[in-house]
Amino acid sequence: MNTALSMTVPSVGRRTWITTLIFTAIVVVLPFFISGYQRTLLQKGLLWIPSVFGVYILYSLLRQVHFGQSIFIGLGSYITAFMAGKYSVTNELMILLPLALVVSIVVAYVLGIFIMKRTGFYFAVMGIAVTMVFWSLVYKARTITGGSDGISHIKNPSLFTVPLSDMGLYYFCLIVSVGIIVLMLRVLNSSFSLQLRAIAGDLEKAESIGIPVKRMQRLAFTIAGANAGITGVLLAFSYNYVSPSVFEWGYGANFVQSAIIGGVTSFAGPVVGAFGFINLEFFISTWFANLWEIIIGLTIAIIVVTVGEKGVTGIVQTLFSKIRCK
Amino acid sequence: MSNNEQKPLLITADKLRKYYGEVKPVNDISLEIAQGQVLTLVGANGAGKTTLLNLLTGLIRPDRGEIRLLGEKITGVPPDQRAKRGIVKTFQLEHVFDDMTVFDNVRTACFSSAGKHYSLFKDIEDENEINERTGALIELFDLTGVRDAFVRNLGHGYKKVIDIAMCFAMKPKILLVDEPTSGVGEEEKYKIMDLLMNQIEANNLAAIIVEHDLHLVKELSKETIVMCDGEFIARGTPDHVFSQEKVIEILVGKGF
Repeated sequence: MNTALSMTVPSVGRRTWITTLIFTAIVVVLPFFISGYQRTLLQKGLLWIPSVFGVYILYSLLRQVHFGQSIFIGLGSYITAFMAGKYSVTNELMILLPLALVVSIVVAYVLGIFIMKRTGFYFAVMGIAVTMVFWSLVYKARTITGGSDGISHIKNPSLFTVPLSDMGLYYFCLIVSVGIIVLMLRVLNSSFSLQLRAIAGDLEKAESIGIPVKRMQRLAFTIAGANAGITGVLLAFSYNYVSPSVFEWGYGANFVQSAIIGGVTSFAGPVVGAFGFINLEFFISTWFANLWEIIIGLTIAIIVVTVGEKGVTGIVQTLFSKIRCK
Repeated sequence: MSNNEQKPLLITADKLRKYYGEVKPVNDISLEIAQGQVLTLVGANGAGKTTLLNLLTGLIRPDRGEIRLLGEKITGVPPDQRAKRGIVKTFQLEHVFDDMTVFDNVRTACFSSAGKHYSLFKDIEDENEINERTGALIELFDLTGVRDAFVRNLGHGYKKVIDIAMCFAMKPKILLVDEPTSGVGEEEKYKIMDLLMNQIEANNLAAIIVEHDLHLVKELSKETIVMCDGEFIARGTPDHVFSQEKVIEILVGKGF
């Protein structure tokens, strides 16, 4: 195996939990010191984390590049748009989140049966292809989905029938996001992950020692999808608007790019990646409006060429260890 | 052969067939293996030995024929479930998890053997029972010195032993051993075989061992089968089999 690509998955230790705690403390107090707009950016970052974690799990454990997260974000978003917008059924988070979760799990499991039949390049392409089918359906079913106009006027959410203010929604997103981080860290430190790594390492051997390869791959895919479904609901409430663009594969690619920026050799990768991407997007589009694609493309190219899978977290870790050595 | 009559049958294969176009690696082979029976399988390259083993493990499906384990038909059972039921194979080429430590390699097999595939949220270090069992296997197979080493950094001989240790973690009933000593040095070869045979004996396992070294074959088993072009052409004690003219012709003639 190419040593540049061979990767050691770290184990979740005390340091990871302390870092998570510090991160949580920062995002809890930060809204008091920043503007409302900056808070929405922060909220977007928090909401991206579950989806990026999905990509991270599939890549770091199974070695598969997952472009299809937009399918599940789209499902979550449109469920919310229908229920709390177009058909005004309910805006209750305690109904919509479980509903989106169940739909994402079912769809991810069924899609996983087909998509997970192939690995590597073909898995990546299948993800893109299926995403485009969803996008096309939503785009064309104009009478139901509003077509390219999307669905606007999504009500603000309520939690246990109590309407949430913008600040309330921010903290709810924070709780969900940190909750998912904790769950994902546990998953990454479980025997489930060990066996997924075995599947990625040598599929034939994994099968020969009794690992139910297909079922475990499907479950990993389903976990990623479930994460994205939750992201979808909260993103729709954050913007009070959805459009078919959430189903575009390019949107799903954002999460892959975030995972690359953050790095896949550290658990902090998805968090750093989600915030890194969103901040880059914000600053670049503010300062160099027309150069967004060029700069993000170059950034990713530079990261891949210089530090490869380690990403920004890898650079920071290397710097830290150098400082310590001195 | 006398073992066969005394001990209950473990595996029966009836008229197994696998063709790849004109090539017939397994051509209507029938085979019975009793508990604790150790067979060696020899034959030139391309004789169909590995294909036969793969049919037994379920890695490939036969075109025709039937396989039974303890009387129960398992022809359609997928390889992971066959492994759990006790049909376990070591590989001819290195098949280990390079990006993991030795401990994690064996631990993976222990988790699988215990059927623990879906404990999503339990910390792996808290799985005391599995970790203890892994530790015991590491010790049993003399891997303590390299317990925390990454497998990719280890030599070929170690990888063979790790592969074997993983098979034993599966609590096998029958071990299918595909060329356990290919590519290892003379000294290591005997060490690996000693380790393997001791464990097979200690656990009263059945085994089919594919081996090219005829001297080793004579030492390993009381019964050997010679395979050629997808068929068994001779079976019996190694001395008896290797004295047959057609066997010599095939093994020598095909550059064995």
